[in-house]
Amino acid sequence: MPLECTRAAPPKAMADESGVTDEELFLLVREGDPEGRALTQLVKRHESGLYGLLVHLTGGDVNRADDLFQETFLRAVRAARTFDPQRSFRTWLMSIAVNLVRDEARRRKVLNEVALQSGEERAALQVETPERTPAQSAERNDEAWRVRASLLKLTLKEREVVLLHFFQGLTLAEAADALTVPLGTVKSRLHGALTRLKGILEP
Amino acid sequence: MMREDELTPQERELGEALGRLPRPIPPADLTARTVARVRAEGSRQPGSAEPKAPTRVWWQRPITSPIARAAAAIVLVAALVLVTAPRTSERIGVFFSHLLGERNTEKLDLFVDRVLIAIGPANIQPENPHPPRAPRANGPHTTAPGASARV
Repeated sequence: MPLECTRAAPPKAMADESGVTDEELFLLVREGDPEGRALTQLVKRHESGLYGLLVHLTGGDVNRADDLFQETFLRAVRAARTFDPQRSFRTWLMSIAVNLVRDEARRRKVLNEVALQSGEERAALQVETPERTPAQSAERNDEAWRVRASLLKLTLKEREVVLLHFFQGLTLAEAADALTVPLGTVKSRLHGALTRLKGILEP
Repeated sequence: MMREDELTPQERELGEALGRLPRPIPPADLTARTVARVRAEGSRQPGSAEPKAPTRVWWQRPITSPIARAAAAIVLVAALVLVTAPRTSERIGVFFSHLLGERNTEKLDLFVDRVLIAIGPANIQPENPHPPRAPRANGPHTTAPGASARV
């Protein structure tokens, strides 16, 4: 089957009921946005997706994800002049976030050693899902827990590409854009990551 | 290198599982804190110190550092050991009596005693689990009521 079909499918250019796209909102932010409305709207739109990505990239560390989330928007606003409106804002934002995680991981050098988080953090990672029977929920939670645990065994680069494509729903081309690597590299990293994940999940 | 547009059914399943990963719920005030931080940065004078990130207060943040976790465990165990050592607990008692005053300490002491008595093992077990057997009427070792068993 085509690779692109396997991703969750969020919209490419995000726009809510107002019909204003991310790019237009960010241009407003760039021009000043004295009351901060455009910025608030933009942050709200990406809050869930970006925060989720950061939580999974940091191995479930919600506090680091919280700090990195703020830092991502701070960097985006600082670098607003360099933003090309022809480019997808979402991809650009993901690119900043991934770079920040890499920088932070380089500083800490412990990303892969982060233990699975304690119960309280596991509780913070409750799934936002429609109603299910308790058995279905338990099965899903167990699956999610196993997948999360195996994600931690991947290298950061593998994790990035897997999360951007399957979790964030970016196309391979968008993921390549966000990671600033050629499309072929993204494909080979994805293939390598999936092979390793299979090996980890089926010992 | 992977095949251009193909995924094996297993890889597809794995991809779907990854897509179903939990969507962590962001803290309620994350947007507000982010906007506040970005706006504070915007109003900052060039060359001035960078504003500190408005994070959650320290006591609301879970302990994530393994070293800090171990230290917290050691502190808890040490506290328990100190409290159970008779000499130290006495010293603690004296300290509290200085702090709260003799009368209040006495009240507190009484209260703790009552709680301990209420939930203590004495109240859980039956009052007299092994009642003495009634003496046999014409047994060889029977003694008259009130008389000493010893001769």
